[in-house]
Amino acid sequence: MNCKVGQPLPNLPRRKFLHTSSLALLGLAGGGIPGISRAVGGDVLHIRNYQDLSSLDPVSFVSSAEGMVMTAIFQNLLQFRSDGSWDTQPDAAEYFEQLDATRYAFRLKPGQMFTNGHGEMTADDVKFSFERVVDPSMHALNLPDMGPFSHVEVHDRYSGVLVLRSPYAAFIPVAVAGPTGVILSRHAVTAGGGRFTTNPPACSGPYRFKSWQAQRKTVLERNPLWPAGKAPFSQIHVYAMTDEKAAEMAFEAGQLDCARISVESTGPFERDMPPGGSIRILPSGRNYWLGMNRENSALADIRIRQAIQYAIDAQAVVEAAWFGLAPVSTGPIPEGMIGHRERSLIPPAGNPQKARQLLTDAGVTLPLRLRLDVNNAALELTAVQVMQWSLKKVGIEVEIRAQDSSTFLTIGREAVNNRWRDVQLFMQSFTGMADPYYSLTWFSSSQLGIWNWERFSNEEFDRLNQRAIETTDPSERSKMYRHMQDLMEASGCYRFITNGVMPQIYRNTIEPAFRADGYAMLRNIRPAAFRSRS
Amino acid sequence: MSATAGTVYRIFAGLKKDPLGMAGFVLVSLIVFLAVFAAWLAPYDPLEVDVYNRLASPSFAHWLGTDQLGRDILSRVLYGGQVALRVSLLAISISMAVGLVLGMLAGFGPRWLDRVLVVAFDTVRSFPTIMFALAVVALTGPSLNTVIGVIIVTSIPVYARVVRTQTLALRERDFILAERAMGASTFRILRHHVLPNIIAPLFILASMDVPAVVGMEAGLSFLGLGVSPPTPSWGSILNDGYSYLRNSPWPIIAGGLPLIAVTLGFTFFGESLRDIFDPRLRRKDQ
Repeated sequence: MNCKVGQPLPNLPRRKFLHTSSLALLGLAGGGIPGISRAVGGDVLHIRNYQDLSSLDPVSFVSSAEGMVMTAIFQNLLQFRSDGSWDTQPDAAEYFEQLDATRYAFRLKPGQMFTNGHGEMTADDVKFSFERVVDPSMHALNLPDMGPFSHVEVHDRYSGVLVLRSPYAAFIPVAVAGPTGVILSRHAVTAGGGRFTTNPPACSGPYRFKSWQAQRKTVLERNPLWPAGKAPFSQIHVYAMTDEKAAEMAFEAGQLDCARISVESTGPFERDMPPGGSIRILPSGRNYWLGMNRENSALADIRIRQAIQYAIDAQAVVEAAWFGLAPVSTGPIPEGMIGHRERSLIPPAGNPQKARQLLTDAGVTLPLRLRLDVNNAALELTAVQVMQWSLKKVGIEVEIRAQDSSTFLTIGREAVNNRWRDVQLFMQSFTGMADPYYSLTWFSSSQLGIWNWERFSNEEFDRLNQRAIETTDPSERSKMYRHMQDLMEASGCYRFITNGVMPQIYRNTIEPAFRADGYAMLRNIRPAAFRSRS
Repeated sequence: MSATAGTVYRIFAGLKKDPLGMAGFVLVSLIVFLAVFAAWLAPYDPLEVDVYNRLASPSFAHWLGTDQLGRDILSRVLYGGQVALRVSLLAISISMAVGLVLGMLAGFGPRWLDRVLVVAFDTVRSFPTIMFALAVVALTGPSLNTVIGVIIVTSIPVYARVVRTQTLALRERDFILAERAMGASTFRILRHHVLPNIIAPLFILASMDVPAVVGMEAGLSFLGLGVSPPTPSWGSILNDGYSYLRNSPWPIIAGGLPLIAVTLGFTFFGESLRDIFDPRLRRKDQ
């Protein structure tokens, strides 16, 4: 279209102009945050993931962020229920039974198809998937999840037996129902070279993998081959958003249907929730504690470590950092799981007088100066500053060293460098799983210099750790795990803080579904009015 | 009247004619006063934790409210001024002194030395400051000294470049050539003839640099690369405020206001000084 100076502009109908500009404005509004289109509570679910994916392969995934996606696009033999418990229910298996202490029989539902033309799921695929994780040549990161798993005996096209070398009480929750136990297609994985990362060669869950954009989003779409009916959403857009504040703003802007938010924003959201939104404060399986390196000369005397335990007011720490939403924990095993202790040896508010007495008995010259390493995050920094203040009151002056997460995660690792010798105090956390074994095994002697930065080493603890995993009687196991936490606390190496909480906000247009530790279960989320055809 | 007294008189005479410059001077004086006397002026210990009174709104007890640990924000802002002034004074004076020596060496020394130093200045300047700070902090851990060190290293080339340019312009002037002809040593020429002619613009540059340095310290502390908790700094107050913005806007406001005041104060004051000592620049601006 050529316009010359002095000529009238070509005629643009008003209605056409309004229509075009309105569409452009809508497009701009929808693109307020790059890559996010507006959530309308319709056929597409928009949900936040707390970090980006690195691998969807059971041998190399590293976090629950990936596990959340994996359990939506793959099937396990059993899956966790979405009722807030760690109970399991059949997934790909129509029958699953423990035959004895080391053998588990299964039979697959017939007619479960892998996508991309890789055929029907068979018992051989189960054998391939489980044995692949324990294959030494795979160097699986998640090998410990499998415990003493040995092999799978295939009986016919659909049935077989999972065989362990020794009893493993956490086998079902950690290996069979967890992301490590998802069933892959032997044909698809082998044809693709034997490994994959964020490009799964075949799916079998209610959703199938569509695309992944690094640091942006993963798109899943309804799997037309899913035999149990039509999946609730035509697509699920999973956004990698590490910043909780960004997720909160995206939710307020109507661009997310569900998001985990920061603890400090829970109150403001409860008071002023955007229209059509709800909040749930769920228990979290994350264990936070102050660790003490007993091999550092400044902390070699158990009385000094115990003084630190008694000096810290964990109640105040939780009040400040978790806004009082999370209770003070009694150990790594959270409430509701076998082995949970009703109370710890150290009172939640501590006992500063006793702390002073212990320091006097130890002959410490005050002020005692110590270092405290911590991950550079708002929650942790708030928590350690309260600890610092508590310790100052008894004459211990603490220098806080905030480190970025990648540096922090190496400070106690022997394989990285010798910094572990200088580590004194540190605030650490990790997310447990559905079994207490997963909460405590990281503190055994075999983990010295790997994840056991306290250098805690106790023969009785190690023995019980092994015995508990081979014991099938829940009450017997529970007793062992409670005693193991007593041993940890009595060593003076740990001041347990909390198991945290997981606040989730969601739009009322969906019925959310969460695991017992607060993580979203993508396959179980559905539109509010959705009725399954299955 | 001594030379110093004459300079002070000249400054005040100039400020009287420049209301913005005077406002800048008042702001700078106020900030320095509040920071220096923070220990007397702060109503509370800036480190005193009172968890059960956290994120309180402004009241008679806490004029700017409390932060996420129940610490008095006003007290933390006042003490934060000490950190800002310490960083800016130390970092600017050291980088100015080193930049002065290196710049004069580059401008008055042999040509090869000039080239080597210019390449070194450009190499240092080519690193983005934040990336450089991240690398140093990863190696040494975050601390106030690290912040000061990073600012010094990245600021030296700025001063050295200015000094070099001024020195190059002066070295061929008649009075310098005359000094040389009379057998004056290089040190004497630099000390008695070059230095007095370049020091004024350097001080003007330094005064205008204060907000940048304070902002850099605040930025590094905001990112958790600066002062260690619980030391109050305007950047760490802003960082805390950002995390708890939904609960209370006061930490953000309290941490941001002094940064604005420092920027405005030193900029107005610096520009006024520039006009007073170099009226030609003013004419060019106009």
